[in-house]
Amino acid sequence: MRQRTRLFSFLVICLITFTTLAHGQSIFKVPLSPRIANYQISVVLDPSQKTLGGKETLIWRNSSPDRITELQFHLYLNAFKNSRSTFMKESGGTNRGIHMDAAGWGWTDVTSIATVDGEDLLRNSEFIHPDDDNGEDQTVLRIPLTKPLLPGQTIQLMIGFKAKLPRVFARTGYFQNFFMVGQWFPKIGVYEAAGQRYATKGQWNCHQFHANTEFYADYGVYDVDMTVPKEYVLGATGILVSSKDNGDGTKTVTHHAEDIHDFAWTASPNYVEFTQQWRDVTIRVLMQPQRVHQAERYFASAKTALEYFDKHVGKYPYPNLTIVDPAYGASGAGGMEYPTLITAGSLWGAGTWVRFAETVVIHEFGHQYWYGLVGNNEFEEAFLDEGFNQYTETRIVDENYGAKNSMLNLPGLTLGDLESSRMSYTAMPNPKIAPTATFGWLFKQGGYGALTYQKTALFMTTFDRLVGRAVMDTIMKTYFERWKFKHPCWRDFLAVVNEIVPKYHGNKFGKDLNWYFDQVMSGTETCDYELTSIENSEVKFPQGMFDHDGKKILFDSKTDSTKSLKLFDSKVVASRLGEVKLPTSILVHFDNGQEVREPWDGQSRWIEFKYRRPEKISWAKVDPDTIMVIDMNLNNNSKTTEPARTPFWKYTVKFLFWLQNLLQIGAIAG
Amino acid sequence: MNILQAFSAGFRRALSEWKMIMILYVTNLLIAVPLALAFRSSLESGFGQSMTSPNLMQGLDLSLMQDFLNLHRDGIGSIIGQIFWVLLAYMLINTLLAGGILTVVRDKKAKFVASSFWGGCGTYFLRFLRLFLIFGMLLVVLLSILGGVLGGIVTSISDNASSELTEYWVRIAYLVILLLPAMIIIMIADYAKIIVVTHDERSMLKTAWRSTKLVFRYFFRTVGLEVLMVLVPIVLFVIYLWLDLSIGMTSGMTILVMFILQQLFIVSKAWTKVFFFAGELSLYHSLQPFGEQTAVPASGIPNAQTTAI
Repeated sequence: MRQRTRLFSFLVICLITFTTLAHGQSIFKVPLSPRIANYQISVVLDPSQKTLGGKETLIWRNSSPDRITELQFHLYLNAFKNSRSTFMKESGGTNRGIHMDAAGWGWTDVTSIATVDGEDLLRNSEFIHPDDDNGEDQTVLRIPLTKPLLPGQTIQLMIGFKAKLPRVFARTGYFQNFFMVGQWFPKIGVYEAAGQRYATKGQWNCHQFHANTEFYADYGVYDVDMTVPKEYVLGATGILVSSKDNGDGTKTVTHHAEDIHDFAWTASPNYVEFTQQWRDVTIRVLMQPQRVHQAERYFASAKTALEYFDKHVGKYPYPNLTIVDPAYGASGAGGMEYPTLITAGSLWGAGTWVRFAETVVIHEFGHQYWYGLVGNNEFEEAFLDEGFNQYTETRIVDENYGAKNSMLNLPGLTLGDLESSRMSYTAMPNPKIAPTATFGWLFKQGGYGALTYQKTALFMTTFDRLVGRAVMDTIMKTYFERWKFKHPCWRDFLAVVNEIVPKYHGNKFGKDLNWYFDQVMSGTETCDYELTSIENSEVKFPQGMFDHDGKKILFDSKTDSTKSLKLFDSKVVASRLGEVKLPTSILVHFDNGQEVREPWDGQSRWIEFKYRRPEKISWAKVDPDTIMVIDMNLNNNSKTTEPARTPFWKYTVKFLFWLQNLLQIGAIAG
Repeated sequence: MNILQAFSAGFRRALSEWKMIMILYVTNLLIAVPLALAFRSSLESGFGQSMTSPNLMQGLDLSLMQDFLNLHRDGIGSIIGQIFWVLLAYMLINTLLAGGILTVVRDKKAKFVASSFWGGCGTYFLRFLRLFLIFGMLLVVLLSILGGVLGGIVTSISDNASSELTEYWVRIAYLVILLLPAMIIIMIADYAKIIVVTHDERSMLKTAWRSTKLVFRYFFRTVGLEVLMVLVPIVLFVIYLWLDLSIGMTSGMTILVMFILQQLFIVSKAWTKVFFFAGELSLYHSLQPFGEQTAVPASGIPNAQTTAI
């Protein structure tokens, strides 16, 4: 059986390779991924009707040891079909702050599914809703097989489909003559065998499209022919193979991509195209005409990200990267990732005083690694890509543009990326609303964004500072190299952590780091350490008559030989106000400039340190190196016996001035 | 008299009325200070003895302020909430003071006399309050209708704009179109007050109508003068902003310097109030038919050194 499976796999790879070579283009000499789901798609865009007409050939291999009796497909565009879809019910028609246009519905109709022998599989198909009880949701299509697919066997399907693109509000769709075509074709789900990720038995992992979920698919080879009006500039995943003028006002552009799990494309007659090179990666930027002056910022930030990931994580394997600047009315298409193609976004007039363009490019490029190359399940563990990526984004952006002003740099008003992440988390009305490790659609009471993105970035940064940058980089590199082109789960990352950290730190953090992640990732509690109090009191030496060795001795100010030496009893108290327990230290500074650093395991509710010295304590800080960026309140981490008052006067004076102005403006009518 | 002459007359007259300007300034200061001190108290109790407060000297540290607000939002919110009532009270006080200002500047050669000023405040307060209500309601209704209609148009254009530049221009135009009628209504209200003080009018509806007719009859002169006068506080604000950016508030000394500059700016705004009334009054006098006499003010308001026209 195993030999037969190997033979089948070999034949499939040969088939794919032959098909690839028949197209005349092969990117990688040796496949980088298992190439389970391989597509050849021909699609025609009708820009006036905003429709796609497509024919798809899917070659899918059963890589599990199970007999597969059905296939499950994602039809993501049906999320925008009507108000009864799960996506629309959960989102209320708003996604990432953008509201859906009342006339902008979209859908996918599968018109035919047949095997290569001509067997019609569509007639017994049905829509299923594995996540909720919404029988009207049509984003998952189940196709029963008349003949089970054995382990290692391959099935080739010919699929006909029509799609209507929605007016863009949630990543994909059109706006006037701008088209961002994502999640547009019938896409097979992932079959997880027992033991893969959390599967205890072989099963399809094919979730409905929810307001708070993204995507999950297997790697493969894509050959896509896209027919668009010939004046349109087209950008797509993969590399350009050919562009043919059809002589009827249209052109057909063919792209080929290997070892990816998604394919997206964009077309518009308005794009202005630029190209630059970074080592062996061709970067292509498609800009809106009113923002062409910002193209260089896109290139610079993409190269910064490429450089960073190459140095700290691993090599970017693809030969190209396309960056799309969406049309103004299509901002819902911005800030999105697809293999080798990302969408960013900016505004005319937004100078480098607000690095929105750079931050988005760096973030979306990061997704080439977290989600693209390391293919986590975005439905169930979005934090593995969004959160990890937010962590790497904050590192890159702050290190390259300044920790205090990387995102906003105005006179008197600045903001760094990590600061921004912290603010998003600490400002949550209820940061305990759910654990970060929650399936995306189960954030029913909110919190998805801040907990998945920002809290993850904060606990990863805190962890980075706990174990040290060198160790953190080793962890991320190992995780990347071990799990690229695969589907890891959280357990797999934790295994890497528990393997690497003891090599560098021995038992310093215990036998494993589960205690840390159980609190910050699986738990909902918050972290808050406080420097509670500082006390200094002069030591009063004894006065009066004392019995000593049968004699009476008088102590008074005249006989006190230590009068010239003042001593102080000092005490510093630190407290743990939150429920998260982390090891930390307290730095105590005396008024002669000397300092003492006291370690604290952070377990108890409070700890005190006492001293008797000629010096008084002038200030003290808990977590003096700001390792715990996940701390909810940094203002209470320190205390000084001589607090500065001037800053309060500054803002009082400002408040007074603007209040006076407001009064005068309001009294204009008086 | 053309608008430049009216502008110049108002400018010079306002410069000479320092006592009155100081009354306006001190009133403004006394009303704002208690809230500012409450704000300071809230900041100090929130940050306490923390060592993070010096971080606020170089600029507004948003992260630290967020931590502060997370715990003290209610306190700051309460202070902000009081601003509405303070604003309302200040508008009433300004209505009161307007009577005094116009009583003093009504006569070209009169000098400031405290009793005259306060007498004018009292004499015209109720009438000015009625004018405030009339024109206030008119402003609200007009802005609501205009805002609603224009807002729909702006939304429709914005939703279909292929470039953000379109939206920028549309929004700027929207603002200008809203501000222009608002400015005209406020100006009409000013002329209504002038008519009340000059002719001792008792019917505010009649006065409102009369001032409206006056403004539209001499539209370009009245609006022209207004636009010219509005440029002055705008220029002063630009100068202030430039000084603020240049000096900053990063040390005790610079905070003190900026405080002084800020208060000088507020004084200049008080001066502007007098300047507007004086300029409008000059233009009004010049627009009256030749030989028309202004009514003698009601007795009980001594106008030292006034000259009967």
